[in-house]
Amino acid sequence: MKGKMTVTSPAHVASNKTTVVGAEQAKGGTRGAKPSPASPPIRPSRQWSWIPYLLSLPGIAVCAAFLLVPLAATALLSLNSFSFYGGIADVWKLDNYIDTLTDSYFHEIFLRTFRIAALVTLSCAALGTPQAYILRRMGAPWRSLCLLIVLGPLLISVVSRTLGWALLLGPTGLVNQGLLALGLVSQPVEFMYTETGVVIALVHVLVPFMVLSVWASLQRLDPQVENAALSLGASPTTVLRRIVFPQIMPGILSGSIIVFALAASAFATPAIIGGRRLKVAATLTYDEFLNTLNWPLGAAVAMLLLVANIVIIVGCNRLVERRYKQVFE
Amino acid sequence: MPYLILDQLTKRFASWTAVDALSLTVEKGELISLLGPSGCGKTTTLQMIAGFLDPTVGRIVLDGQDLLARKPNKRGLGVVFQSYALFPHMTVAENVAFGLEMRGTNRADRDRMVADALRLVGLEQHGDRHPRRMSGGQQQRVALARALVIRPNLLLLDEPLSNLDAKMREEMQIELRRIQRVIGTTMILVTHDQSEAMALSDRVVVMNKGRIQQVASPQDAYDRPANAFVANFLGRTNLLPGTVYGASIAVADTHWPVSGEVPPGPGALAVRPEKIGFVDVGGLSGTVMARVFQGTQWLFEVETAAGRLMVIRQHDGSILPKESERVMVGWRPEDMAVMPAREAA
Ligand SMILES: Nc1ncnc2c1ncn2[C@@H]1O[C@H](COP(=O)(O)OP(=O)(O)O)[C@@H](O)[C@H]1O
Ligand SMILES: [Mg+2]
Repeated sequence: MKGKMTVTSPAHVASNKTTVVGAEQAKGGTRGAKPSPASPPIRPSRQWSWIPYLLSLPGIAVCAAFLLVPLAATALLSLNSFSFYGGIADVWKLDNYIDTLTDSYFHEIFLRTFRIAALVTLSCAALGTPQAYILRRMGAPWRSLCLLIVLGPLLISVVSRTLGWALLLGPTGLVNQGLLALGLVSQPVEFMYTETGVVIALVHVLVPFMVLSVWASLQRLDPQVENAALSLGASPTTVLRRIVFPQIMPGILSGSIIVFALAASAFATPAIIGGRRLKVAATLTYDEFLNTLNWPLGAAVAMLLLVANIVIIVGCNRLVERRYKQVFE
Repeated sequence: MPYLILDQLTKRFASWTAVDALSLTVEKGELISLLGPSGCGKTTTLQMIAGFLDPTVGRIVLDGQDLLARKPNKRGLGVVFQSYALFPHMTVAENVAFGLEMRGTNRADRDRMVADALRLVGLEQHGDRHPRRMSGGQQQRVALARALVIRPNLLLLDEPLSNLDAKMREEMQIELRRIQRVIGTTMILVTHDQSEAMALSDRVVVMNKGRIQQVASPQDAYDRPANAFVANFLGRTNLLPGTVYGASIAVADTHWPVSGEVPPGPGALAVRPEKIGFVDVGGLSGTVMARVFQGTQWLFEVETAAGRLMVIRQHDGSILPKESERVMVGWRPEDMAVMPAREAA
């Protein structure tokens, strides 16, 4: 078996100095250096080669320099200790993590962060999925126009968009004026400095990512599949529920991962709409770094946010992938 | 009263007319093919019957009832799509059971009917597989089983065999014909493959540019094409210009009897290469320009006063003319079709 394989693979011959090499050379002449005209062309070698690694070196270097190194530095920083008078001390202890994980002040902030992220993700899925579906069914001129409107917010900076929401959501803002005029509420609803306000603004910021992601999975859907279900007697809503929805689940999932990660680590929107009282993990990190100057604690919070994000996203991903196994293949 | 009536069915997309005043009747239990080149409006016609497209003008009557008044999910038709359109997230059995589920068939009946349908298409072992893991031929059978299990009163098949390789296609043609015999469902088969249409159908509807060219049995359409398009689409043919005088047509210095009703004036005569023989008297005289051996047959090119003719003769040991020999070619009047000149363009 081995001998047979060696004969058909000249590249292998060169690296495998067995008796077969001799036989080959006797027959084909200077085989190792130059194949004889009759021999099959030498296939790319399966040998370990430097070339792929060399070619990906620039990418690896950029990734290492701008992602891995700062991340490692942050991780190391989070192990240092800080005192108000002594500054940062070069010690390696888990004190910051223990403090963060045992203090109910931090619990509240982390809980709020992930509650907001979860609500934003659910709202984006609930809004973005039908939006993408409707967009796909639209006619030619309207479709691109509406897609532009949906994706438009991505072209404007998050800060200006959020300041816009601050104007709209204030006690005398347009939203409250409208609600009062319609008689839906008797006094202005508090949106500013509340989780509701932060969720509304974040949904607006992040829903385009969900639309794009679901849109991509809708593109892969065979439109005849819906017709097939109709012809079998399914009502349009059954078609949506039983045929379309399960097939665009991967798109909803990847959209949700993007939205959740961005919402959990969002800074500008919670900072402006939530203000200084309603802290989330990102604004907490910022305050620790720039106001309290407790860099190690800020770093520990940042690391915890990263780890929690990864755990939640990977966990949900596994769960949904198992549920919709066939669609993901 | 015919089972299915398509009456002046027309579909326009903006200014483009995809299907133009198509009228057709189909009998119960018949297998009829819509045959034509790509883009001639076959799929559009089928989609109008299925209800996925609304006709611009026209009427569709099935079993005495106006089909257009019913939504696609209330028409009770079986559809097999060119892309199969299987539900990728369901197993084969779930795919086939879907239509029964929508009809509220109870669990036990459903399981039995699904098993029967899968047996009919030879997939009884594959119920819990997923369609993506199956070959094109198997997916095609699943699509067929899924459409048949609901006992449709009409089965629409849109190029169901076009994605299969030649051998598989032949097998599936035989299979399809067998199933049609067994269950006797009325079927409309769309295809651009003339040999498939010939092999399977009771009647073929030859279409071009959204219009029906001829409706006839496969043999009739082949032997007596209504016009040049049909003649050429259903295989190779010789078209000879001539003049029609009442009951005969003159081609060069020969006269041939005309059986049908063809208006007098300029006309054309169509005759298949394999229907032409070398005769001693009473034919068109000409010269053999080329002869090619093709295994089971010989192909001749004969130059005559009416133009160049293609002649096919079986390789059966009989003595055949050689190149540049003077010959006379002829055919039986019943093997030719005569048409007005405008149909021969
Ligand atoms: N939705 C549509 N909009 C515009 N033109 C269409 C549409 N659907 C089909 N057509 C046109 O109608 C013609 C017939 O199409 P189709 O019925 O799919 O042909 P076939 O199935 O015979 O290949 C084609 O020229 C096609 O381009
Ligand atoms: Mg088609």
